[in-house]
Amino acid sequence: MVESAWIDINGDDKEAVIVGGGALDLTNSTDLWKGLSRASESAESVVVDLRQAVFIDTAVLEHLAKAGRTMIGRNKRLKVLTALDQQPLYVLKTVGFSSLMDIVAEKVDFQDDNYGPG
Amino acid sequence: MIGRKATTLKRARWIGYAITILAEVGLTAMLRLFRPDLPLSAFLIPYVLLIMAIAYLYGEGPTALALVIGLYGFSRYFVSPYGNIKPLADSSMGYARISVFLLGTSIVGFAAVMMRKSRQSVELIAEELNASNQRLELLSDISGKLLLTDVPQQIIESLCRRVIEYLDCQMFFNYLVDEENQRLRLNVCAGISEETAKEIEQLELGASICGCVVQDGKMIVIENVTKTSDPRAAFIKSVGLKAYACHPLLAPGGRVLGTLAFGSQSRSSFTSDDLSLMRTFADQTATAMERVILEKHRQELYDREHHIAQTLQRALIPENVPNEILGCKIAVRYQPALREAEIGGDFYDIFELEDGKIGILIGDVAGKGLPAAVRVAAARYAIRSYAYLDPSPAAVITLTNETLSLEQTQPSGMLTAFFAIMDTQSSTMTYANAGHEPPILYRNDGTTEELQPTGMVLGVLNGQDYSESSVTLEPGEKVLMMTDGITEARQDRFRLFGKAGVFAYLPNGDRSPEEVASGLLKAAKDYAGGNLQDDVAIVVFETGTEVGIGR
Repeated sequence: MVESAWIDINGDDKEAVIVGGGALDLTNSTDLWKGLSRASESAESVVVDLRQAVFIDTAVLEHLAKAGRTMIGRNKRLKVLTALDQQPLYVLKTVGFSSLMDIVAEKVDFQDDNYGPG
Repeated sequence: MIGRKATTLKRARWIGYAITILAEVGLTAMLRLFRPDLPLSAFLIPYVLLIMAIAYLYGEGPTALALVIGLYGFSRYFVSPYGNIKPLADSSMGYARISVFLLGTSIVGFAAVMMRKSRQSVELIAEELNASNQRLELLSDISGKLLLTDVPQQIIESLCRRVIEYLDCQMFFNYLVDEENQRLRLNVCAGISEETAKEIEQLELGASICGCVVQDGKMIVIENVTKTSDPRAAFIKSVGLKAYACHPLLAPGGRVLGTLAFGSQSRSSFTSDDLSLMRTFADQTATAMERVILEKHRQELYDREHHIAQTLQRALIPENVPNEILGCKIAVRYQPALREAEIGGDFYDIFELEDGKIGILIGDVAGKGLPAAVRVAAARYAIRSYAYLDPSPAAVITLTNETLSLEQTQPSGMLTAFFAIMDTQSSTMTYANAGHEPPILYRNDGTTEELQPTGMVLGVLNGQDYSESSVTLEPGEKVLMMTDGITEARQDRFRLFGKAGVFAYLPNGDRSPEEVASGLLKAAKDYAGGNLQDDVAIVVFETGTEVGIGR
């Protein structure tokens, strides 16, 4: 069974990796924002790994948008990893964030097939 | 309770010392004066019994003293060769026998002391534990009741009654600060008559004991009230109190909300445990009162903001969208989120432009509440205004993005928007889609097309160029526009209604825009178990039979 949500913040000032999984929304994305906020202002490269995320809402999109804008202001690009055929990739494409950040989609084998877009 | 017990034991020990000295001096004197003829063994037995009795009654200290005095008495008056009593060598008892007696006395005395001490320790620990349990149970019960209540002022009386019963007090007084009049107002009290209570119904700050406690934020304890010369104690003297403790009701931020005082007519002092219990009770009461005050303020603020946002949203969501404009049928639905009583950021607009054109807008602002409503207002009126000036969806959306990107909010305040202009003369729908959920064009032959985004969401990055696309609609063909409240309707955290749910619903026969809008909303709600977590907006547009006359 997939956990409802988790966020790990790794790396250092040079390369920050923020990993988010499960269903990420307004109620559980505070840590994501804290990590993103700090990393986007100082790290050389920032990677947000959402390959294990099955859902993101507009709160998460806002965090990504703000971090992406900050990175562009520093002449750098935020990199977001997502899984193919999952809602986060669909949403990121729909809102047109590819002009704000690099979105890389990969095929990911999830343990549980009972989630994802209906 | 434990403190009082310790005081009693201490007093008993001093009495024991006095009795020890008096008894042994008296016994020795009797031996010396009245019965010098008796053998020493006859006097040693009363010594032993005396020491055992003292050991049993008074414990360690007096027993040790008894032994010392006994030893000294024997050596001074019976066994010393320099005393007035005949020397030991001439007595009927030898050194060895006296030594055995003394040793026996010591052993018996110490054994008794140890037994006594051990029993006292066990009793004391048991009493301490019992009292501690009672105190914890009382505080836990009080704490639970204060946590559950929304009106702590109303349950203070019943809680105070339990506390005074536990503390062997007869009176309590609870005053609350009257902010408006800068005085203390009696909330509840016990142990005095109604007439007396009326006399002390209001107190000046800084004048009485309670007034001083409020002013300084520190407790005042007056013990041995009858002997105190403190002029502030006149009232408590008059009602016969012997001990009185008044605690401030200190809110977590340090604000004094009132006082809680306890008085006893039977005790002249309080132990540190008693005072600690009172202080804990006062602190818990103050915390509960502050919680209710803060909750009330928070609710008032929330209600005010909610009211403003509701008013604003009513002004922003057109209430009376005509079912038909220029021969085209239109159906709209808006449903606020049920998850939280906040205003959402979904919006739509339908308006007629010149030359047989219709402006159709649907969008979604990230966030909720008043900030979202303000953002909706800015977006909706910017789009409408630009559309009147330049009926090109790409130009309208590009200008709107510039406007919203320059007006940065926290967080980013981004929003999605699908804006289309339907030309009823050419039967062409031209649209720009700024990151909005792609509307679905439902053809008469049952096929569908998605009107994909033509640019990024609005309000994130300025300098974006939005493109536009066009589709030609045949009479009776429908465009279904919706917000993500439909596609993200969830059975649980992972199962979404999704686009698949929308497509599954669509091919159910030939239905009017009204039927499609209602049916889709119902399908999403049913999927989510009856409640949608996000707010929802739906616009269904159907070309009329008269469109395309200009082609």
